[in-house]
Parts: sequence; C-alpha cells; structure tokens
Amino acid sequence: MAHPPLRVLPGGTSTSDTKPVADAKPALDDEGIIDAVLRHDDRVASEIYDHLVGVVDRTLYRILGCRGPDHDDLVQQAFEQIVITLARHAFARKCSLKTWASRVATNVGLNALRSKRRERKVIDWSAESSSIELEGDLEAQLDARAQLARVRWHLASMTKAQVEVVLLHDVLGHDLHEIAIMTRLSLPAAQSRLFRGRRDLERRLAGDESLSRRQS
Amino acid sequence: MSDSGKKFSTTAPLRPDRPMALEALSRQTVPPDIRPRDETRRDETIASIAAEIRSQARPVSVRWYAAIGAIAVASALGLFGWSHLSASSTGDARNPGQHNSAQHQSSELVVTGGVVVVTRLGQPTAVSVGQSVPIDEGQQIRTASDGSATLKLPRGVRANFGNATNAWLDAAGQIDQRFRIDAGIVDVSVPKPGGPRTVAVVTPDAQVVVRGTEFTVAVEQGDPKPSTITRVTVRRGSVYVLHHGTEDVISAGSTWSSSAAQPSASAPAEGPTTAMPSTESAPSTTSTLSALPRPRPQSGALAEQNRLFQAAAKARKNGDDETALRYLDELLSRYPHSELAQEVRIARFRTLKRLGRDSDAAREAMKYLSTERDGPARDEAREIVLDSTAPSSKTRSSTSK
Repeated sequence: MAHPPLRVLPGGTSTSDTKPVADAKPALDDEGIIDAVLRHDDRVASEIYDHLVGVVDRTLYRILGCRGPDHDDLVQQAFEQIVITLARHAFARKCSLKTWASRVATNVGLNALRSKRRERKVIDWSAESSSIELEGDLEAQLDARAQLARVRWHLASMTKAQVEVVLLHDVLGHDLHEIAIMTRLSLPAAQSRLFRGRRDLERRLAGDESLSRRQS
Repeated sequence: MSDSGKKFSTTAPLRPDRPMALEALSRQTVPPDIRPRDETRRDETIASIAAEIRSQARPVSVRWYAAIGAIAVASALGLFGWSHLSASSTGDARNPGQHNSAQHQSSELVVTGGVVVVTRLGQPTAVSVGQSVPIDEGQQIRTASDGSATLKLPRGVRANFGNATNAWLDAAGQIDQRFRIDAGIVDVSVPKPGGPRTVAVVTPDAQVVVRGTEFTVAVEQGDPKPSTITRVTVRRGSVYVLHHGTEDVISAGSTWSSSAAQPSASAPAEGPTTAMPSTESAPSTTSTLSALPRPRPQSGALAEQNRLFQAAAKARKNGDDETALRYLDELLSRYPHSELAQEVRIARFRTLKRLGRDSDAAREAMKYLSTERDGPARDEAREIVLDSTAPSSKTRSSTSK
C-alpha cells in the first residue's frame, strides 16, 4: 500500500526541548504515574523522567551550585529514590509529585554536599557556573560565587533536619505548609526548624573569617 | 538583618525574613543543560527508573534473597567458563573461584613453618612463620620446601598445607568450600556437626568430597612426569572420591591412591578405571607430611586445558557452536580427568542442545548428573533429560497454541 508523501505542516517547533514522542502520548497525571508505579508498570519510566527531570535537575543545581561530574549519578539516584518512596507509600499524595520530587532531590543533593565536605574536598568554585544576577563587574560576580560556596560549605555542616527545611523554604521556595506535609512534621515544628536553621547558618556565617575578609 | 546578611546584600531581598546568604542562593538562575550526550543520559536514567520499578515488584526480603541468589548464580555460572575466559584475560586464569563472593567469608592463613607465598591477581606476597594473612577466594597458596601453613576456613574447617604444596582456594563459603591442589599435601579437618555442607579438594586426577571428617590429600609426581598420583587418607568419618567418572567411599582408617585405581599413569587419556581403596592404616599427619616426596606443579597440562576451554568459549561467543564442541571434545578426550571436566560437561550438553542434537545433549546431561548430582546445573540437566524423554511435548504445546 502506497503512503502519501510527507509534507511539512505549519505550527511545529524545532527547539531541542521538544519531545515529540512523549508529547504524542496522552500525559499521565500525578495519580496515574503513582498508580503505575504501584502496579510495577515500568512502561511509565519515561513519563516519570519527562515529568520530573526539570525539577530534579534544578533542585540539585541550586543545592550544589553546578553540574559536576557526578550530576548524572545524582539525578539517577534521585529518580530511584522517588520510585522507592512512591512504591513504599512514603508519599502521602498531599502535595504535587513535583514538590515531592523536589524534596527527594534536596535530600540527595544535601547528602552529596555533606559527602563532599566529609571528604574535605573544597567545593569547586571554578565550576560554579551559576549566573547570579548581580550588579557590578566580573570580580564582584566571582566574589559572590566564592561566598555562595562558603554558604554551601556551612549548610553541609549543619543539622540535616534543619538544613533540609531551610533549603526547601528559603532556596527552593516551598511554603511552610507544604514543607510540613512533605516532611511529616507539624507546622510549628517545621517553623521551629526553619527558625533554628536560619539562626545557626547566620551564626556560622558571622564567624566565617574568609567571608569577612572578602567583604572587607 | 544580621551582619551575615549584609555581606550578600546586593539587591532588595525578595523575602525580607530570610538571610541574605540564602536569598543569594535562591536567586541563582539555573542555566540550561548544554552538555553533550543528553539523549544517552535520558535513556540511561529511564532504564534505571524502569529497573527500580520492576525491583519494587518483589517484597523486601525476596529482593535481598534475590540479590544474594543472583550473586551465587553468577558465581556458579563459571560453568561454561566465561569466568575462566575473563580471568585469563587479566592474567589470572587459575582463579575461577574469585567470583564466588556470595558465600565468601573471611578466611585466614597462619604460617606454621618456613615461608609461604600467597598470590592474588598475580601479586605474590611472602609470609613468614608466625605471621597470618587473610585469604580470599581465588588466591593461590604455595608453601616453600620447608614451609607449612594452616588455613582457617569458616565453620571450623582447618586445612594444614605441608611442604612444597601448591594450592588454590576456590570457595570459602559457609555452605561450600573447595580448594585445588596440584602438588603437595593438605590435611583437612571438617567438624561434625557444624561444618559446611561440602568440602571438596580437587587434584589433577581426583576430587575428594567430604562431610564431617578428617583426611589427608597428597598429590605426588607420577612417572612419567606429566601424570600425578593422588593419595587420600581418612582418619575420621568418610569421604567420597570421584575418579575417572567413578565414585568411591573411603571410610576412616583407609587410604586410597589413584595409582591403584589407574593402571597406567602415563595414559591420562585412557578410559575410566575402577578405583580401589587401599587398606593401609592411616598415618599421623606429621608422618604423612614428612614421608611424602616433593611433587611439582603440572602447569603445562593445565595451561593447555585452559587454552582449549577458552577457545571453546570464544567460539561459542562467536556463535560457532560446532567449533566450540570440537574444542570441548578435544579437551575431554585429552584430559578426561581435568578439573574443568564438570564445566566442560555442562558446556557440552548446552552446546549439543543448541545444535539441536537433543539425544546427545540428554546423554551428556545424564553423564553430568551421574557425577554431579548436586552440581550447579542439575536442574538444567534434568530438564534436558526430561525433554528428551517426552518428544511430543513440543508438538503438544504448538498444537495447543
């Protein structure tokens, strides 16, 4: 049977972000994805990836400040953790799947940050490819990156329970109610962790001589 | 705002309550991922997600057992010798047991006399008297002419190596323990009860399998030189000796020698002969160690066996089963008592099955089952035998479709 010749139709897009295969299928919503995971239907793997890769990548980037050589491993690790938590009913379905993925990725990123610190590795300032929107010249931007690296250094040394709430709230922009649901804390407990975490970080930053030198 | 906040004050804060340091972190824009191989990364991650979803289909305990089982099966699948092939490519073809990590437990070698050389992955280490070293599966133990050592294995098994002994620890698990000796003498003690399920000592011309016993295995130089003579002396319990395809039970106080069972030591390619246990009384360990001559390893024959086996494996890998079968046949005909015989038999019945020679495959599988009733490929062998006895099964299944 002869096929009609193919022709270009208007309205298409050629950007690299487009994923025609994924778009061609009817997208599953959060509930559909979770149910598929609970049914152990591995055909949903690509949907999970396409649905969550953005938030996982962004979260890891914000916490670590760069896409280092282990970035892909961390992304993979985050996805594995997401699947495990879904399969084991750790996700209470009281927030969106993206929010949950953000929390899981935060933990993975935080563990990586703490691991780097334990290994006494200096966080790779040169690899900080973040485009911090700061006024001023290049020197000021480099200085700001160095300062952020010190902040991460201190975050990595703080109590994990506190720093998780601080990161989710102050860096990733989740509200306290959402954080309380994700972390299974009461609202006052989440608030307390945020307050104590911030205070601890400020105390550490205030006592950081290298930051003071840079500032002067 | 705190002092620390002032350090980062570049623009007005989006949320006045949070420290400026965190404000700065939250303001980072995340650049697009412009690294190459984006599709590959995507595919790899999706594959890992799918695998994780599948693995969640089993309960936790089953997953643990499955993981342990997978490792055990992987080690058992040294059957067709792919493990030998890979080991030889790293210059360590004599260590097939190094993959048997599932059952691996820490073992210790205590040097009781002279010098002992322990070799792992081609790296020899000399250990002097009084010292001890941990021993892993796959390691080689060579005692000097004045050397002796005690190998302490899990579950209380002790193996005392005499002078000028060349041995390899192939398995050191809680359930199965096995070592090879191609020269020298080893005195083994297996507690009963409490010992592992099986302890096997493999020599170039025999395999001694035991449960709860004390015995000595000595490998001597035969005449002419390429051959060897294995002597087994049992002091407590009993042992099975597999030799030329026959199985003998040697009870306490008896000694068995492969020379008695092998009329012509110069003809290793000859057909099977019946092993006859000797009625010698069991000598003490010390006297046995000092009385025996100093044998030398048979590296040439083993190298040739490995070469043939690897050639078969390579042919199989290339999809050339006919050639693989030729190599396997040559190996078995030239070295019928090869320590690779079990692997060769398994490889043979699999190859015959692949070639569609079902009855030959079944015969080979039967031979395998007769010598290796509890061998790692027993289920597969039984299946092949059963298939051959029910030729209409395929027809039935195809008709039912």
